[in-house]
Amino acid sequence: MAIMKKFVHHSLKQLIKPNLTSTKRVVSTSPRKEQGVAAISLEPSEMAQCPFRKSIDTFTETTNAVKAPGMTEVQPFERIPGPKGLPIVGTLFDYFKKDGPKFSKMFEVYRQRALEFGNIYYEKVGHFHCVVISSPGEYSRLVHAEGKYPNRREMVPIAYYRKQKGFDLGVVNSQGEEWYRQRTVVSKKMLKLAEVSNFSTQMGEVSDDFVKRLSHVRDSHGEIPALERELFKWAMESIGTFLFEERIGCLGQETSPMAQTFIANLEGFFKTLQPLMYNLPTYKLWSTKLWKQFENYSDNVIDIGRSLVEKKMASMQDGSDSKSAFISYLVNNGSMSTKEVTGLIVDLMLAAVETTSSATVWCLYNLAKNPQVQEKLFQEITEAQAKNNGTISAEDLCKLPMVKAVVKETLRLYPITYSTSRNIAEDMELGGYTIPAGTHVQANLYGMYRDPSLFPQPEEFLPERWLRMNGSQMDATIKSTSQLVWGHGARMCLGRRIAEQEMHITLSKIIQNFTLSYNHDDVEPILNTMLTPDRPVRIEFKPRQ
Amino acid sequence: MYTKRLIRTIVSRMLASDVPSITSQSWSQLKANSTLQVNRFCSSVPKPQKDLVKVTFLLRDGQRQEVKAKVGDNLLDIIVENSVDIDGFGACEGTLACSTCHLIFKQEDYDKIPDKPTDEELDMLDLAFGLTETSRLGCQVIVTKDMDGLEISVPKGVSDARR
Repeated sequence: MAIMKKFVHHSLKQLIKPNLTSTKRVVSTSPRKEQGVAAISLEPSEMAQCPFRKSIDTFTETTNAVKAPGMTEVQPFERIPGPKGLPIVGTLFDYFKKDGPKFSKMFEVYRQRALEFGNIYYEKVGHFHCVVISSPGEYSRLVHAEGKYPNRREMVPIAYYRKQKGFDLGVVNSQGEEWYRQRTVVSKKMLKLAEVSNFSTQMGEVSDDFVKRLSHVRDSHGEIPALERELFKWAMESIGTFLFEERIGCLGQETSPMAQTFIANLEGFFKTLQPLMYNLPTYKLWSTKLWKQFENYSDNVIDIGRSLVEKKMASMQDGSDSKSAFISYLVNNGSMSTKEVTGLIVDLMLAAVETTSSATVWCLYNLAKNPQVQEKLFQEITEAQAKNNGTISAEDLCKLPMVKAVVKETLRLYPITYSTSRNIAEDMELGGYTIPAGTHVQANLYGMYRDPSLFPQPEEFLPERWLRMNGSQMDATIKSTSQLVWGHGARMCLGRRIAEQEMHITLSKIIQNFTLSYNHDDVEPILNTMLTPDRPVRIEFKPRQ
Repeated sequence: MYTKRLIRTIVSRMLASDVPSITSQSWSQLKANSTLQVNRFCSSVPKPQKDLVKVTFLLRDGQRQEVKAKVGDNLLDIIVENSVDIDGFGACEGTLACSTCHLIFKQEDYDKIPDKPTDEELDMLDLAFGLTETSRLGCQVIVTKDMDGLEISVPKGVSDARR
């Protein structure tokens, strides 16, 4: 195996080297078929020797194919349309062209490709290849077909980093039995609504403190400098109430240096992860500059996370007041070792902060741009309060239909994860083609969410479209796509219910206390692993009354 | 480099407050100390009664399977406990992450279920295969005494619908 791997790496290196030095002269791999042919016209003798012959054969078959048979017939995998690239590297070099597609805008690439090639297309970008589905109906067939151990593609750089460091893959990146053993324990506490709502009071207190902090840090324009950072602190403080049942201390006058360092490194971690995921994994051959940065961020994040967990565990064992029902549960469950529990909690911290804060910044941005929605939300909260002697608990804030609709509509316009995917377990037919087992199939969420045939006025922020009482019955399959931003089935986001609860509470409390407005140029989405705004979002927070 | 040093200082300071590292012995101590808190998490399913009622599942192949269901359990638990064989049922184990425990009720039975579906359940049902007006997720329906004699259909799965 190792020799084989070495060989492949070596040949990859040889093959890529000359191209890298002369990027300008590389033949176009843009999706026009005739150029594709030119790009790989090899002598038959060369083809016979080529270790990557299969892709060439495949391509030849495609181009020589006789006229496509009738629509009802299932066509072979090789006929799936898509941009034709070079052998081995696929369309990778297109991404280095000045006006070519960009890794930081992959969501837009998917959308454009789907417009060009249709609801199913195939693309190979370096080592990353996948079938992209842009029809809710077709992707739901994949969802229905999946079994108990769905295989989700690992985040390759994270998995590689963990192997290098001797860590296990953890619940996020492992597969099969190994994944299931942890998932089945953790999901019982993290995904059940009754369990999660146990923490609503504490999360409500964090939100109250956050609102206070926002009033405190407003600048002379009423804007919050570095709103994203503030939301990071809130998200970290909030997850702390669940994981550690204590306050980490991010929202005081002075944020602890530990929290600040953690947040800064976590930002760097996701920023560097993005290009590493799509580029050729050259970091496996030598330690590239980007890899070194990623490694450094990862080391720091894990060091801090682990020190927090270890400190907590130590204080729990010395008989002091310190407690955490979640950690106790994991420890007593018996199926996880100390090392695994520590690793898991660090993973949960990593996954809980940037995701929730990015989603929330998009919510606030949309609310600020749509004062009429703010008013509806404010009305809804006021009415609920009036019915309950003028108060509303954090738990009840989570049940308000409008705030839920705001989150759904925000994630439709700005899906922080622009696609969800599976390595399919069995051969199946999708979009009229046979897809072999093991193929990586992605749902083009961003493309679907902005498709006017699925969501009328797709560019508008219209949370009302999600309200059930509205009468306008959205088709269930189309409606169900809103779920997919959280992943699906047994591998759905473990933190989904916690994140939703945190967001529902905080957004409601912010709207109870402030009127938001946005007075600058529109921001654009960009990928830092998550879909984030491309510049600081400067929202004016005006206290109500 | 600077950040690394900073972190090391912070970490060592955090740990310096004479916190012992976790050994296997102290680990068991930790376990012992924490057993007291286990009950803090409420079980999502209240199970005060032990009464049994008769529930019949109409399976995909047309077969009927009658089981004794404990009042207070949810229908997913009952299907698992009674080893009712339904391919792919309950993939997320009742964590409201999938719709594989989709069941269909008769209208009058559907109306009688005391717990109305939450928004979260309705959202998840949107993903269900062969959704109807009287669909519920088995993991969210708690058996009550009134359900004695209930008949529930198991909708066809995707494998049955394959061409």
